[in-house]
Amino acid sequence: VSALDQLMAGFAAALTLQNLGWSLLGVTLGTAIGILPGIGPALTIALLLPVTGYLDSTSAFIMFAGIYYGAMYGSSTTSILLNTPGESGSIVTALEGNLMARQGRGAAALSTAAIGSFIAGTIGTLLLTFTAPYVVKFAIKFGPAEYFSLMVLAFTTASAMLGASMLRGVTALIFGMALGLVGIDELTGQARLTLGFPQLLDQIDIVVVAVGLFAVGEALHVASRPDLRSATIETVRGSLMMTREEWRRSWKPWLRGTALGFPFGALPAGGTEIPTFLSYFFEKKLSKTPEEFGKGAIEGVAGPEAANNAAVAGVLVPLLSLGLPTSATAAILLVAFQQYGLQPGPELFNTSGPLVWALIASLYIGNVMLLILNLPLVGLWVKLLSIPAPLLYGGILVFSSLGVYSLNRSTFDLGLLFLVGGVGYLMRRFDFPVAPCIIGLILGPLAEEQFRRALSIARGDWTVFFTHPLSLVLLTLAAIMLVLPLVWRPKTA
Amino acid sequence: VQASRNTPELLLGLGIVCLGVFICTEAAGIRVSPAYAKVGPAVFPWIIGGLLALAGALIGWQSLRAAPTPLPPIEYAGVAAIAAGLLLEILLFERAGFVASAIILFMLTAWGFGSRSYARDAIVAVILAVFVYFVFTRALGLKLPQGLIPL
Repeated sequence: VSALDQLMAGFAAALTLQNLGWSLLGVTLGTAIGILPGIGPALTIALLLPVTGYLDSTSAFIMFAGIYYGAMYGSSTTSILLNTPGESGSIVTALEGNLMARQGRGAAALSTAAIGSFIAGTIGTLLLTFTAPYVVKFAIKFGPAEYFSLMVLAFTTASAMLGASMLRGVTALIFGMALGLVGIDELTGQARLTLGFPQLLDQIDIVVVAVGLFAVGEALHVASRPDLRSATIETVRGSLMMTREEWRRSWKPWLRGTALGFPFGALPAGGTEIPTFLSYFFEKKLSKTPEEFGKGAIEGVAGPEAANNAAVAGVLVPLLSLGLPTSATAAILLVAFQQYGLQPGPELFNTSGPLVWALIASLYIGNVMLLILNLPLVGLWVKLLSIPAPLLYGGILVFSSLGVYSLNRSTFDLGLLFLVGGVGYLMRRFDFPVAPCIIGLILGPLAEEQFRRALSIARGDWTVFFTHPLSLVLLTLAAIMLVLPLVWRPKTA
Repeated sequence: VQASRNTPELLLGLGIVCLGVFICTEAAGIRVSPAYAKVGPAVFPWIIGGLLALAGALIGWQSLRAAPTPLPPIEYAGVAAIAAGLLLEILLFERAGFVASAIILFMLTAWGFGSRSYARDAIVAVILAVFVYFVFTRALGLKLPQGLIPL
């Protein structure tokens, strides 16, 4: 069966009234949490995990994918009107976008962001549709040694790419892996790092860590810094219908942003931030009027916004075809798959083909919904920005503790949430990126499993990782990723 | 006077070293049966503990070498209020029930974020807590501690 036939079957499943409803709910929720500061897609999906156990798996993933895509659309609105990004992928958008809003060109900035997101999201989903099956064919040949080396590559790129300093990224990653050690060792049944707490035998729940790091840590950090809260909301001025001139200046940045964003998301290179910085940098270089950058250049919104949406589609390639999460949200999605007893990776396309293709089809549909939700209805969404911070964070913490408690109905988890929240606060205070910690917690145990499997197949011979050619190539790439930032530093960003 | 970040970072680095060393001592305590001698359950804890200690040492070393850089000032009252709300939640969630502990957490968080509109915060807190309680227990069929307030 060709990819196209399977995609058509996926559309048939995604276009049922029920799944259209879940998709609409997902993209609406995604846009809302993208717009609201302090809550992002990783946190939202983590909080929904305890509740969605009742849902059919296809519907749940259609909703989650809608949240992930929707958050990227919504956060650009916050960047443009509030000058503080709703999510990390929209940091660059705030540079030119907010200046445009102040000059009364906010509507044009919102339009180029939304249309660019739509084009990049749709092209990105097309690329996902046609590259994922090839990656699967390739990955079928992977043994445990190759998987372990691939994860090492993902570890190094995730910590090198996310955050300002590689040392801090690596530290956060290893800390996450250390949290992943806690509990019963699955191969031998031995308790590790449980400190005598029986509640820790069953491993630390990812939801507790994600909610603690993202919600509690963020709330403590923002409360400690009143200077982070004083932002003025620009009103949407100008026409949402872009002028001929604005179209002419936008379409190339959209396509270039897409071309940058997708591969960065798809390679195990981690996240949506780097391609947005690169896109901004390129647009400034290529512009005939670079002096407009820093004064509200529309290219500086169009390019990065396309890049972050294409990157989100790209992130789904290694997640679905290799079981390799390269962003915090992808890590949470991996846990969601495990909750349904599914293991992302090459086998997923065989065992759960209909689910995967319905999910991919829903991305096309979600993009259309998001364009409609975010352009004509932008006036409604802006009202979310006027929710006072005290009420917003009060609500976030109530939902956070509720979600964590309902995992096991245990106040022990609330205590754990408090501790992880304290760690999340310290990480923000001292500029440690949070995402590598989540990735380490999820990938750490998987890497250990592959590591031990590879070594027991090789009867304890450690050279197995270097004698398998593919494994050697992956490890060499990982070594290059570690050394490269030390010798070559880009001058921008 | 702005506080320097070098000293707290040095302490943080030392703390990370201690955590790494602790993981290594735990790894040393894992009994490994001879069947798994080469790739047993202690190998990864040793690697991770060692790497964590190394990373902490590097962070501490960097803070010693770096020029003094200021750390932005923080408002302790806000952090303390939210921390108190979360700690009270741990104590009260099952004793006083979800609704009561959620209202307390909400009010303290709002206060920590500088709100002094107590009436508004209280109204929002009560509506949110009761609404969520009913959605969870009645519509979704999940169990939440009812506690003191009979609903």
